[in-house]
Amino acid sequence: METIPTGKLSRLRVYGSMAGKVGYNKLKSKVTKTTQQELDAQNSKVIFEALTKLRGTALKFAQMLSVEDMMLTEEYKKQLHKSTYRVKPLNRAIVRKTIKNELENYPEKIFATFNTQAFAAASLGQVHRAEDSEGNQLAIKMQYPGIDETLRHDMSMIKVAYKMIPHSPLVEDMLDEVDEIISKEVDYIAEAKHLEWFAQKMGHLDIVLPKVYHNYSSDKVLAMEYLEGKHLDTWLETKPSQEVRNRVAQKLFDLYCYSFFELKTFQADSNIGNYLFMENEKIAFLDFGCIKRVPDTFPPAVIDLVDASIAQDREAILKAYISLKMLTGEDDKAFEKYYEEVFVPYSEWTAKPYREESFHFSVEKDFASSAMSANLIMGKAKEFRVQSSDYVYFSRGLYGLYKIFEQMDVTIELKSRLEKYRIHVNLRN
Amino acid sequence: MKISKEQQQETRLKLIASAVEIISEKGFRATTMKAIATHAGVGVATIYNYFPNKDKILYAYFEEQYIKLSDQLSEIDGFEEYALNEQIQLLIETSLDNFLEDREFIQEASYIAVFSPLTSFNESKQARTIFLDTAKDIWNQHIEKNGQNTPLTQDWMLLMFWEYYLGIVAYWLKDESQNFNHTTQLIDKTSEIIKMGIESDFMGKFMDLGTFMYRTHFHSYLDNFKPKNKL
Repeated sequence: METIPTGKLSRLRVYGSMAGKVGYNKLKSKVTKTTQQELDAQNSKVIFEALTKLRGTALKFAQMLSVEDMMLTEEYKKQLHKSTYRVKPLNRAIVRKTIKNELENYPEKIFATFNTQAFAAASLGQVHRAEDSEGNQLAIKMQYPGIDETLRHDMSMIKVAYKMIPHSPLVEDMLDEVDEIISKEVDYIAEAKHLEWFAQKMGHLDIVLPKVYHNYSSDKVLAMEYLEGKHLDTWLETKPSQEVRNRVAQKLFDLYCYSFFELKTFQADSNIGNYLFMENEKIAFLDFGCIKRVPDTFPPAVIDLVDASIAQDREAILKAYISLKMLTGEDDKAFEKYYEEVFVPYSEWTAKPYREESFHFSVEKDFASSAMSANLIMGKAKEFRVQSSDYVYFSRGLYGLYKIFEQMDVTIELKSRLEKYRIHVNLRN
Repeated sequence: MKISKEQQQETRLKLIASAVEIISEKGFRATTMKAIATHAGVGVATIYNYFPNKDKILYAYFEEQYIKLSDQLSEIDGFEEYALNEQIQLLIETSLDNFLEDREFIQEASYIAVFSPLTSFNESKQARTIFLDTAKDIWNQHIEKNGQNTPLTQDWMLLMFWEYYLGIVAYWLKDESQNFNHTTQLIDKTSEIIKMGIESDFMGKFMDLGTFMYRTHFHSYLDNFKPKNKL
């Protein structure tokens, strides 16, 4: 079974040994002339193993990378994708102890059955199947013990590492964001609240949200209804038809739009592990660890940005970015300087799916990542001093969704959805 | 008047519980046999029928603990399916969990007896044996499952395991982390090593080396001290 290296030194050692192993594999390839692909496969395995061994922050990063993977080769991607819902489980003795600590008794005393082997990994924990005395099928999400402490160590380590290399103020902002995301994800009481809030607000829509069982929950254990379904990779292996894939993807997009435009609250961390594909084309949302609430003025500003981008109207684009708080209004020189390099590709990314009635996403086209280099340039540029976390979360969520659509290889309607909400927004204003 | 075995056991447990309570509060030295007897509602003379001194009550506490521990482990669903390191962890964690409500008493006991390296080896033998029998059961299960032979060094290694366990208890007593997570992690890491050690028969190989050194070198060195000429 796995252990989590908790001390800073031991964690550094894992990072170190990971770098060492990658180097060694590179060296070996010189000797044996391994093909690049085989080498990538070996290296990604090493990296994945090291990351999952660290759990905590590193696993969170692995998950984030699995969304932001434009610079990684296919093999890296495959390994990283695994991290989102497949990690080696914790020692079963520790599982029992955690349940005892949190629910005040051993699992066999609380549940009719409890499987000490986890069936899925959550970002900072793992999920077990159980059945209570009334026959309810449960998914018990459990946090890795000591993970809060581990996270604190990790973040301070990463911050120290960043201080040593030149970077823009944006990077520091980003680290604070990661800090925030992670600390939100370790609070299961808040997550249960979010889940129930969404269930109440979206219950009338075609979406499945697991029921929370408060009597078996604490801030480190979250008991939910067990849902039968498949994650994206395994669902796609069942070869659903083009029509089915289109319909399911459309539904996913519609739900995202609804939560963004109507509720102004959305899942900020849309990685593939958060969705479950069920029978009869139903989709379940699983993870509400990190949700974002935006001000009422935010969704209309996003629509303005899309409009300006479609029209390629330089002035309007600048204005939209200012109202989204991505630019201060005093950085118009920087806007001019980076217009071609950053804002043209970014506007294209923003506008493209909304130009035609429908848009075809596929891995070959690789549209989702097309603005990533622009994003990186903006991140590095010292001229940009602010970055609205609202917009960062929003585009991250959208980006994650586009990646999923590409993997599903689907054609969906985006334009008509935007029109629908434009009318809503205008009516309300 | 004849007292049944059950009644005897009941009184014995009552005396142990009283001792735990008073010692936790007042410390080992300040606790008298009389106070224990009174607290348990037993005549002062009677207590000596059960325990000749305070030390013996202390050891009896641990005997009872380890009997309970063995029962608890056998009640865990699918315990025999667990990996060796998981079983070791369960053995120790369950024991610590049982100690939890008597933590102050354990602290006191650790200074006085049982967990002190100066403890007379024989005094704590009974408690230790019960604990190690459980450990041995676990180990033998694995030997049987894997079709191995019982290593010659088994008893000796079990004693080392006892020392290891005492070390963990000492660490736990000083552990200030939430839910004693540091102890959990320490057990997690060390039990993996123990598993490796057992599976590779590390000690057996080490003994082989020792025997070789002894036979070929140390023994012949001792020959130097033999009287040279027998007259």
